[in-house]
Formats: sequence, structure tokens, C-alpha cells
Amino acid sequence: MFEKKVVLSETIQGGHGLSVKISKGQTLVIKDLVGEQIVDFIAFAADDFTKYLSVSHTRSTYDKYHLEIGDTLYTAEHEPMIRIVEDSCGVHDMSFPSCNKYIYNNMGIADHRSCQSNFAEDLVIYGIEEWMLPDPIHFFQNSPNMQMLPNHSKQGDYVKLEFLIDAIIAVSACPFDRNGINGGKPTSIQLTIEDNE
Amino acid sequence: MVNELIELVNEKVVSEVIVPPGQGASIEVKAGQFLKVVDVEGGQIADFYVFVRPDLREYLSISHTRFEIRRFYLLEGDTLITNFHRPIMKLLEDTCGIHDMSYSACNQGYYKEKYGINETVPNCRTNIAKALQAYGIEEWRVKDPLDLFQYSPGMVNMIGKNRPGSYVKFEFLLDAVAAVSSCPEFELIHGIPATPLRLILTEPK
Repeated sequence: MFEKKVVLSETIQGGHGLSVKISKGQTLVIKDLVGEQIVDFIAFAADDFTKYLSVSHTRSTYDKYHLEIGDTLYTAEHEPMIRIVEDSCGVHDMSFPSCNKYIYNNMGIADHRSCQSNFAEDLVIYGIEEWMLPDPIHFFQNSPNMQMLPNHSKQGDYVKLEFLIDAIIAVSACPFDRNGINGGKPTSIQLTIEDNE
Repeated sequence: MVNELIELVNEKVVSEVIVPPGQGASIEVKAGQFLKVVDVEGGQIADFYVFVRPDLREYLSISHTRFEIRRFYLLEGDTLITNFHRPIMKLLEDTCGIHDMSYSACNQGYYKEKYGINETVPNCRTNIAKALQAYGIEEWRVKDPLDLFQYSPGMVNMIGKNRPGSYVKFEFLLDAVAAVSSCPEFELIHGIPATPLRLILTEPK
């Protein structure tokens, strides 16, 4: 029996983000603790921030818009980066940009937290600036044909990712709180990193 | 035809650039000018990129544009959006009507991973980086293209049927540099030779 060693377990408040380093071979579980919460996710190679998880290159590899267990997530050089090992929800988005201050400003809302500003704040220590941010995967976001519909994720739904390279990742429990998105109120998520053996 | 006559009366040509088959080229555009991308012989995909001058950190973002128009395709009158979420261009005319906003540009890794091609081959991402070399834009900054004239309904990449002379015409709202690649994918994969594209820059008389 292999004992899996938890190397990090962190709860992130709704509307906030976190960045963390993950080593090749480790797994990351992203759990929706309350339900209906979108989690924006981006990733960079740990030693080279010009290599990033690219949703468009992942789409192009598989000729599809959705993710399935077993899929590999690719960099913009089409190098394998992450593998989807488990997924209890099954509905995620790979088409939207991160929400950002401009989108909230256009809605007449000043000084709203955004996934993009969460990422920028959390990644500045690595020298990654806001303009460099790639498009995210929106775990648990339900957006067929670019609509924004209530998410399918229930309390405790999760995705489990296996890392194929050393990486820096950032997640944001999306702060969007209009039109019933994120259940109408952003809620907490949990990150768990485990060594594989 | 009527549009072309109106153009003749109202606009003057500033410059023209030919994008060689399977290669890339760039052209500087000022706010208020118009850029036409013409598929000269038909059936040719044009990977299209725009970076805002002088701050080249801002670029045409396909995901931000999708967000604003809430669809995966363009219609005449649509405004395209940058990664700073600012309007950058307006699609004034489109005689083709079918473009892709889902695929990445082809690159070396794409041909290797998807088709098992290991040797160095021409590809859109490198073409665009080369065309923008003078601006200091490195290849990692070449993100998602607008794939003009690409027919990929539901991410099924089909061989395009756009007619010779099909074009799109954009009005630029910001100073920018546009880069275009005549995509070599169908030549590499299906043996259909890549063909040239023409960029025509005009401004009001």
C-alpha cells in the first residue's frame, strides 16, 4: 500500500487566489468546497515563464472545446504539461478570458476583485506581469457557446491534475458575483498537493 | 463591387504588401486607416495577429473578443478587443464570412505532436515571430491568431473553399502593427500548395 504524502493543503477564500510551485510527479486537487464556484487556473514551467499552459493549443491538439479524464494539457510549444487524472464534475470552460478590471469597469463596477488581478498579485514574485498572463482554464464554469450559465459543480466536486513538469501554478476562486454566477456569491475552494508515493 | 467603387472615391492606398506562400509579413497601421487582407487565389488560411504600438504588450486577443461578442465567429460590424480589453479594430467588410477563432497557430510542436513530423518545417508561429522580429516580439509572445478564411465548424478543420479574391477589411482604432502568415498546414499535411495573401492599407482621402 502506497501512502500518499500531502505536501500542501490550503483553503482559498471566494474571490481570492493563490500561486504555488508544484514538482513533476506531484498531483494537485482543486476542490469546490461549497458548489457552483468557478476556478480560474493558469500554469507556467517553473524554470521558464515563457512556457505556459495554453488552452488554445490544448483545444487544437484534441480538436475539441471540452476536457476529459486522461487529456493532456499542453504548452504553446505543444509540450505535455499536465494530465487530468480525475474529474468529478465534467463541465469546464476553455473559451473565456479571465475576468478583469476592464470588464467590471464596463459594467459600471469600480475596484472589483478579478481573476486577472489575483493572478497578477500572486505571480509578481516570479517576475510574471499582468500583460504576460495566458488565457486560463475555467474549472467548473458552464459556458456552452459562450453563454454564462449556472455551474454544475456541487459541494466537494474536484479535479485532480498530475504534473508532467515542474510548474508554477496560480488559481483564482472567481470573484464574479453578478447574474447568479458562482452561485451569486464567490465561495471557498481547496488546493491539495500530494507526492505520488 | 459597389464597396470597391466607394473605396476608390473615398480612400487612397497607402501601401501594399504581398505575403509569400507559406511565409509571413507585417505592416504598420495607424488609427483611422483601413487594412484589407485578400486571399488572392482562394482556399488559403491567413493567421492574423495585431500588436498595439508603441506599447507592444497589448495585442489583439481572441478570447477577449469572444467574450465581448459572445460567439466563436465574426460578423461585419463586430469590434475586436485587446488583452487590455480595449477596442482595437472593427470588421467593416467580409466577403468570405467564415473564419476561425478557436485554433492556435500551427507550430513546430503541433506538427510533431499531431502528425509525427520531426523535421523543422515552416509554420505560422515562427512566420509571425520572424515578421515581428524588428519589434522585439519573441515567439513566446505569439499567442492566439484570428484564423482568417479557416473553415473549422465545431473544431473540425476542413479544407477552405473561399473564392479567389475573398477579403476582410478592418478599420483600425489604435496604432498597431499587424502580422499575417500564409498558413502552410494544408501543404504539409494534404499537399495543397500554400498561396499568397495581399495586404492593402488605405486611408480616407
